[in-house]
Parts: sequence; C-alpha cells; structure tokens
Amino acid sequence: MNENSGMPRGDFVVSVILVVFSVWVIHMSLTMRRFGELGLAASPGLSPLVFAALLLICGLILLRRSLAQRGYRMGLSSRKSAAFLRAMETRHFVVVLASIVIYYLFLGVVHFVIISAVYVFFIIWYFKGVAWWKNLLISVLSGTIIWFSFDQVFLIPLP
Amino acid sequence: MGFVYLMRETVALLTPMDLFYCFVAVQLGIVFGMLPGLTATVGIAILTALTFQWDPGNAILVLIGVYVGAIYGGSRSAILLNIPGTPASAATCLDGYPLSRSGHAAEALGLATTASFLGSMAGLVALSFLTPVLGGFALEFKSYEVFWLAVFGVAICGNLTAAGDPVKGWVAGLLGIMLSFVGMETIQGFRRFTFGVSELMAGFGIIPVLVGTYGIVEILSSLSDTSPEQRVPQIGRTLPQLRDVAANWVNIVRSGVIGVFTGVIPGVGENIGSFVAYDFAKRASKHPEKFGKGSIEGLIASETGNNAVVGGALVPVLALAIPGSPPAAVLLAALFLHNIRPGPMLVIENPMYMYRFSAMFLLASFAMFILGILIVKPLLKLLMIRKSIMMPIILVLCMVGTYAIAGRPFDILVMIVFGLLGYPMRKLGYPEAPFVLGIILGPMVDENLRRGMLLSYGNPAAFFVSPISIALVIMTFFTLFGRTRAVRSVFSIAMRPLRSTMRSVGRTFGLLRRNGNSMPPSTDDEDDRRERRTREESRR
Repeated sequence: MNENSGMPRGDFVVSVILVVFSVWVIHMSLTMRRFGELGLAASPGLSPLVFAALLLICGLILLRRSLAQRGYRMGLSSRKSAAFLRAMETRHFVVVLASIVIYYLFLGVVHFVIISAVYVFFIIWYFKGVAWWKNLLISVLSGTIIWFSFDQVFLIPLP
Repeated sequence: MGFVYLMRETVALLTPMDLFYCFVAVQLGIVFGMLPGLTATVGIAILTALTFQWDPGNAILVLIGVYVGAIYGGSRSAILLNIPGTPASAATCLDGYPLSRSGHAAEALGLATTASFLGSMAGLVALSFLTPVLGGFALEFKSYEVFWLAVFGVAICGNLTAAGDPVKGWVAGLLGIMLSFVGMETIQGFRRFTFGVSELMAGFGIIPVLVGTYGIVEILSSLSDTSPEQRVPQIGRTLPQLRDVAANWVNIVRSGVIGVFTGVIPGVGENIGSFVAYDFAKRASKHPEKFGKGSIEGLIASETGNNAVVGGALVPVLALAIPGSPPAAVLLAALFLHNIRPGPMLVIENPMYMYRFSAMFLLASFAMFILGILIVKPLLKLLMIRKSIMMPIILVLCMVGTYAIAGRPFDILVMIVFGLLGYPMRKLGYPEAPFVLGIILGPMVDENLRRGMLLSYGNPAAFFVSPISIALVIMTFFTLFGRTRAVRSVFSIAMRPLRSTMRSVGRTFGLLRRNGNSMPPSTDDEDDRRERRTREESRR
C-alpha cells in the first residue's frame, strides 16, 4: 500500500471527516429499530453498520498515514487564504457554481428555452467565448433545439 | 443446426423496411447513450411507448436496436469529454479520455466501436446457442453469491481506479455504498438517514449521481481551469488496424466471456462487466503501467466487456423471464406488452423465437458497427469547440437528462450536490468510478446481505458455504490484499511445493536448461518488477 500519497494535509482533513462520519453512522445503525427475533442480524442497520466499520478502518489507515507525514500542520495563514480567494481559478469556480445554482432555481419558473438561453449566453459572455451576436445565436439555438428534441419529439417533460 | 436457424432468421430480416427501422433505432440509441443522463433504460422506455401500436416484430427490433446503440453510445462522450453517457461506460473513461487527450481520439473511437461490435458478437453466441445452459447458471446465484459479487465489483473498481493508492479507491467505493443506504430500504420498508425529508425516501438516483460526479465535476474543472486552452491535433485512423485487434484477441475473448457471464447474472448488469473485464486485462497485460494513461488494451477490454453484457443480460430474459440488467427489464416488459411470453416455456411454445430475437440482435450489432465508424469524423469536431461554448450546453443537457428520469426537480439538486462533493474528491485523488459503482451496487449489497441473514437465521457462515461464494471471497480477498507484502510472502510459501513440482516436471521433459534458474519468472516476481517500474515512472 502506498505510504506516501503526496497530500498529507488533504488526507488528514478527509480522514478526520471519515472517522467522525463512520462513528456517527455506526451509532445510528445500532440504534435503528429491530424487527423479529433475529435482532441486529435482520435489522435495517446491519449493512450501514458493517460498511461504516470498514470505512472507519480505512479512515484510521488514512489518519495514521497523514499523521506520520505531519499532515496535521495545516500551514494556514491569512496571506495564503487571501491569495486563494483572489485566485482566478477560485473566482471562475464560484461564478460557474453560482450560475448553475441560479439556473436550477429558475428552472420551472421561467420557460425552459428562455432560462437555458440566458444561462448559455452568460457563461459564453463571462469567458469571452465569441462575439455577442454569435453568442446570442448559439444560446437561443441550443435552448430551442434541446427543448424541441426532448419536449416535442421524444415527449420527455422538461422542467 | 442452431446456426442455420439463426442465418435463416437473419436473412428474413434483410428487408429495406426492417433495415431502415434497425439503423434509425441504433442511431437513436447512440444519441441517447451519448447524452449524459439519458440511458439505455430511458431510451427503451420511451421507444416502448412510441412503438406500442406497432407490429411486434418491428417494435422489438427497434427496442433491441436502441439497447445495443445506447450501451455503445456511452463510450463516445466518455472518450471525447470524460463524461460517461451511461454508467456502463465509466470504465471507458479511464483509457479512452487519455487517448483522446493525446491526439488519438479517432483511433480510440474506432477501436471502441470494433471492440463493442466484437463484444456484441460474444453476447450473440451466448444468446443464440447457450441460452438454456446459461439460464441454469444464472439460477445458481442466490443472495449470498450476489452479495459477494457486488462486493467484488466495488473492490476491483477501487483498486483499478486508484492504483497508486488503493485506500482512496476503497474509501470512494465505501462512501458510495454508504450513501446508497439513504432512503426507504426494500425488506422492511424502514426509512434510513432521511431526517424527515420526503424526497430522500426514494434515495439518491443513479443518474443524478453519475451526471453530478462526472458531468458537473468536468464542467466545474474545465471552466475554472485558467491554463490556456490547447487543441490537441487529432492523428490516427478511424478504422482500427487489423494487427491491433489481432494482437488483442485473447483480451477480446476473455472480456467477451466475462461480459457474458456478468450479464447473465440477474440484476448485476453492464456496470460491473466492464470493470471486471478491465481488471482481468490489466492483470494479464505486459504493460499494466499504461492502464489509466491511454492503454488500448484497457479500452478494448472495457468496451468488449460492456457490450458483451447486453447479449448476456438478454439470456435470462429469454430463458427465465428474469432481466439481467435494468434496460433488459424494460425490454422484458415490452415483450410482454407485445404478447411474447419469454421464460422456460418459450423453447416449447415458440422454438424459433430465440433465433429471431438473436437475428435482431445481430442486425443491430452490424448497424452499430457501421454507424459507429461513420460518425467518428463528425464527432471529432466536438473536440474543436471551445470549452466555454461546449460546457454550458452540456450542462443544459445534464439538467434535462437528470430531470427526464423521474421528472423530479429534486434530482437536479442531487446532481449539483454530488458535483460539489465530486470536485474536491477529484482534486484529492479519490476516484469517481468506485463511488458511483458503490451507489449502484449498494442496494444490491444491502438487500442480499440482509436477505441472506434472514434465510440463514442470522448465521453469517452461510455466506461462505457455496463454491461460487468461496471463489468470490477468495477473489475479493486477493483483490484487496493481494499486493500487500504479508499476503504475498504467505502465498509465495504456499506455492513453493507447486513451483518445485513444476520445475521437476519441466526438467523431466527437458523443457529447462541444465544450468537451473531458467524457470519462467513467477507472477509474484513479475508483479514486483511491474510495481517497481510503475513507482519509478510515477516518481519521474
């Protein structure tokens, strides 16, 4: 087994989450209702218990490994955090994610073609994909074609 | 005699109208398979409704065409975009996408098409000639065996996709299994981990999870990536070279057989088939270090495996009226709707139907091959589109595909949440494939574990009794711990008498040179060398 994953800090954080999560699942599984005389053997908590125990073992292996590599030294500083938040990659990530969430929230409220065209237009505009009129054409056409193919041809209801 | 019947039925299907229906259906299936979220199951379900009033012969031909096309079509988006169109194509991403990134997309698409066709041929052999025998084999799998098979699938997948650090693969697989327990369980109807949220009672759907962990993660990764976009010039031919295929004939036959057997087992389906075939190909390969980095062997194994499953999954449909996979279940329902009664009595009541059905499958496989090769060049243009234009359109398709499965807006939310979960997982080196496979196989693991315990009155020893269970336990054990030093040394000690016997047999027959130490290297030694080589390469 690999003793050097190269991400000791990440492994440390993940292993702590895994250990806490699996202990919580084990607790929940043991307190689940039991049916009949077989007790835990037929309880709905049996499978979560077994697999949470296996996950706990994996979490402990990861924890041991990350501790050996001093993964607990987070090395966080306000300067690093600020640089991370200012990074172009972080900004792009937040914008894309926010646009997906907004698109989801408006699905079903605004007509599918309109909201889809607006979403596609915004993303292409934000990443400076093409000229605005080409962008408009791509957005409207893609939304309309998808709506027509699914809603009208395949009769699949759209949000 | 069976071959003659098959050919006779095939010739009978060679009418312009049947060919037209078949090609249109396969093309539709390919489109369904390519679109993230829309699966073979959805395609067959939609076409079942649209062809309900048709003549049964044409309707079933169309449905088989959609099934074959959709399972194959999933490989297109897996190779070009790293988003598997269907869960069956998850293993294709492992080598297909790296091949595409290195400028060999045409070659990868051509090879995937050929491998899919050959896999379908393996399925055809099983479907036409081995249906009664394999139907009996399927019945040997009871709760205990199915439980171990599902565990074996997740273990293999974890090992394969995180070869450098298997613990991360297992964590991903176990996390997937754990998340599959959310919702109302099937034996006692108890609500687990729902916290009073009514939408969670149905659990997390496979499609929202698949689209989230692959599609949304890919969209987030590629759009937030600030490095300049590079267009890789595509080289290589579409039609694969005969020597590439011929060099892989053992791999193809092995993957085909694995696919057929996995497909035959009810409920297991094409999702495991491709991973098991991939794992066996990697173990047998002379270049296992290339797997996951654009290995032709890996691509061929996964594509042959998942298409062989289609034929395999149709065997219990015909022989026992039990579906081998979710799309086969919809196809079975369609057969009943058209007054065709599959099952043990089919051979007596309608002996020729098995061959007619196989002939339809054969025709659909040829249509898939022809269409697959023809659409490679147009598909390559996808790689020329800027990601800032392509990704938002793919997101709209992901939303539609996810919503179309059950018509629940909640599924879209699940897709986004799993995308958010999958993004850090990918960054931290936790593979997506075992996670998704865990969610797919989790309910099977849970149901069969508890049913087995109920059947054995709470005695877990029942899980270790049947020969199939024992074989699967041993395979799982070696998959998980086979590479650890302790197991290898124990195995090496246990194998010593056998090795010395082999050596003396070799000497007796004069196969070895007299100066000794000329025995072919043991697999352990080879494994050691391979591991060392891989480690050195990754260090470099």
